[in-house]
Amino acid sequence: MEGRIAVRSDAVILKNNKILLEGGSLIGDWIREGEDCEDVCRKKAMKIGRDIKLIKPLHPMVRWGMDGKGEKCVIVNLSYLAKLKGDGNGR
Amino acid sequence: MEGKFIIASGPVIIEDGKLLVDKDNKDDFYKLPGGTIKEGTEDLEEACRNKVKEEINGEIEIIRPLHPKILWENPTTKEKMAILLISYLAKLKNKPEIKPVPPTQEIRWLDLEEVDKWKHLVSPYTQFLIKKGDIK
Repeated sequence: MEGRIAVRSDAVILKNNKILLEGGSLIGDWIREGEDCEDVCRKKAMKIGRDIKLIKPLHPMVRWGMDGKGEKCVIVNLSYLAKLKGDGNGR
Repeated sequence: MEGKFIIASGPVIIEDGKLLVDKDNKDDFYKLPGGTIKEGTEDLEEACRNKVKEEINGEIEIIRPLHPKILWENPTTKEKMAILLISYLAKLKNKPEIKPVPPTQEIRWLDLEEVDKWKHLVSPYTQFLIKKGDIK
């Protein structure tokens, strides 16, 4: 396939039945060429002062559509169950 | 990112300490069953089930997702592209009926202890999943 692909990597951090969001979103970022999916969300967490440990991968998601310019684009969301270092088990 | 990309979905099937792999005429290493999803496919689990059926006539039950990986070049041709590999731990439901469906040429159950000792040439993604503890 050829076209535009955007891949995002996010950490899902749960504690006491609450999910940790930063600015309304999961802690994570878009993956740029050459980057590793796990490093991206770990680095994003570090940038905002959170040290996280990835526990396990969660279900990935793919969506096909158009971007803002009307071009075909596929968006992939990769996410990981994670915990804050020094915290409980992340559940 | 813009350019060529592949999204592939496939299962990791382990039974009695053996890993199910296959081989085609493109690569000289054993790889996990599965393959490139069709444009527009959003259900990666369904794609995984379909690919196993197409490749080895296998019917599977998906258990859980395993670690995904992005490669930034084709490991065989070295062409620059994004290859997103998605896999699921799965259970084979019709073991006696599996067979290589062309272009798949061979199906093998590799002893995991032998894989650990590098006795078999397996794909980089298989090696990655071993390192991650997903294949054990």
